[in-house]
Amino acid sequence: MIDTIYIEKDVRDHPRTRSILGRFNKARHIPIERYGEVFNKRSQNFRLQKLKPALILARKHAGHILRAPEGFGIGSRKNFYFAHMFNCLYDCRYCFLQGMYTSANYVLFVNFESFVKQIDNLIWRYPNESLTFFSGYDCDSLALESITGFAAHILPVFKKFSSVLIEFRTKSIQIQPFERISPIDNCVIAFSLMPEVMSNALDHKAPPIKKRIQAMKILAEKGWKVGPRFDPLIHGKNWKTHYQELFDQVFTTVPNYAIHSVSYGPLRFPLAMFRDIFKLYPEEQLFSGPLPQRDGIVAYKSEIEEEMADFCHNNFTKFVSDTVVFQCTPEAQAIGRAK
Amino acid sequence: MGKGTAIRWVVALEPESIAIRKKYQMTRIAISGPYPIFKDVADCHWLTISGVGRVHAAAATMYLHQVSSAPPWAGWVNVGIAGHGAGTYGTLYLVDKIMDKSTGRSGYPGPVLSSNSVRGSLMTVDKPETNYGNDLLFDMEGSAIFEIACRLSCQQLVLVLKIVSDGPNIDVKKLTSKMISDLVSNSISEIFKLVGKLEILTKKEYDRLELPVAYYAIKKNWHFSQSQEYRLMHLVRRWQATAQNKELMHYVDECKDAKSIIQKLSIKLDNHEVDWGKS
Ligand code: SF4
Repeated sequence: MIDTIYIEKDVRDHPRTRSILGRFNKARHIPIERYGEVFNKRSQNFRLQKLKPALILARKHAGHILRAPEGFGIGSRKNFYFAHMFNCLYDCRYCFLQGMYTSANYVLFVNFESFVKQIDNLIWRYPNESLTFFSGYDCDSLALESITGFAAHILPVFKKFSSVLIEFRTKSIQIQPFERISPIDNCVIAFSLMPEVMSNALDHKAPPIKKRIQAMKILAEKGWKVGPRFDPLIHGKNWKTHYQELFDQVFTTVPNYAIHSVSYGPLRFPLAMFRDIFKLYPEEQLFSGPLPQRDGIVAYKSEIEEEMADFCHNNFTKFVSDTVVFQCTPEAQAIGRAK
Repeated sequence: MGKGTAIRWVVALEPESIAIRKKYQMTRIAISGPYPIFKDVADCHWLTISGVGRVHAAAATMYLHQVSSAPPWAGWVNVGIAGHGAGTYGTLYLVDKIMDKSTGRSGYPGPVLSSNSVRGSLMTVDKPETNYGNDLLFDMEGSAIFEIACRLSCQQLVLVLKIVSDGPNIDVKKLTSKMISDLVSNSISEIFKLVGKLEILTKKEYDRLELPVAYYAIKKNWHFSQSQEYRLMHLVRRWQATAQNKELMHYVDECKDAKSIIQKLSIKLDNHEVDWGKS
């Protein structure tokens, strides 16, 4: 699958680089100085590159852990996010990444130890605060786990700090790292979901909804906390019926006791990003419908957004307590990303 | 060759062009200009011969772009001979890294084509290089063609192909025109295969970038200002994405001006609900 690997000279001898290269011994290795030489250069075509992305192994020098925008969270006072990778194995048509980067190549930061150090520092800096860390902001946190091993590396860190929450957001069913160890109470494995008919049309290359729900069930039964995420909410004919079916399926399959939180959020794009994505996929049905622009944000009309949010909230509270239902606020959506 | 196929070839030397011109049955077009231009009957493949060096290579690429009205979805191909410290004479390389010795810049032709071709790094130099490194190809044009072609199209649609012609044991000065044309000729079926894959990519880009016929038809019948044209383009694309059976032209037939067309289409599309069950 990956036949080209660009390697920053600085990480050429990093043990993780060596082990990854060992797994792709037929791939062509191309030395580079810094990943920016290859990634996000002008004159690249994200859509064509997505046909066969290369892997870039790099070192993250700064900004390992970032503050999450206000309104983005599942109950903690302080929220942080981090991404050990840029870009994703999947190809969801509403994904912000396709408007954010000009390159579809995967950048993997191999210096996981720096992430761990920064997380440690933050936890010590805020000893009496409730903190949540979100993994998988610029990527899917588990989709390439079999290659990266990032989740397996980072999980033990959180085991030490039981008051700090870590969320892995994913559409992947690669749940082996969680099956191999005993459950950690302060870890949430959050699955992005939408009705099957919509997912079939929009979540290209991602595992089917049924399998994601099954993965949630397996993890829940093993004692892990899971979090269904309905974000972005997609509108269309019979959306209520489709969402109702999905909610019934999720909440009757996944044991209620394992549900840490449920969140939902509207489909929103900053205008410039929407323009770039529309240029890439002008034939996409998602963009044909009513997506007007308001104050630099492209989104469904407010009436649609509100109706969908109310519908979701009313349904969720039939299955779980109101206290574990969270809505991603518009501000968070504008900065954050559909996942 | 389907609609949307657009390939532009740049070679440095006349003998490098012979097998390509023959393969695509290209003939010289009768215009006088700084560089000779050839094309096939279908106007899909165009070729120019730049002469040696980066300056000529860049200028010829631009010239071909203009003369052939190369669309933004055109694929660009540079085929040429190159020196190599260890490569076997006649081996075709698909270049995936280009270093320009004089500027120190590097470029990375993104290999989105699946191929079994041998891949290699190229160093473009200003003077013939006889001090061959171990694992590098050397030429005098590649970086310039790549840089310009990327601006005219995109990195994923530029192919740089080099055939080993000289090295520590093969003296570059002893190369004859016949040897050069044979080198390309012997690799032509592999080149043809790679370019066939590039054609598929250009077709994909054509489908993405080319505006629907209805857009041109509407513009022909009504007058649109520049900003209205932009809105119309957006609306026509959305209309197409809705996969409605209705003919767009019929739908706007009775509109009296550009403004009313835009209004009618906007209202229709803003009330459109995607039927996900059907997709
Ligand atoms: S939305 Fe998430 S899963 Fe989909 S492509 Fe983007 S990062 Fe990957």
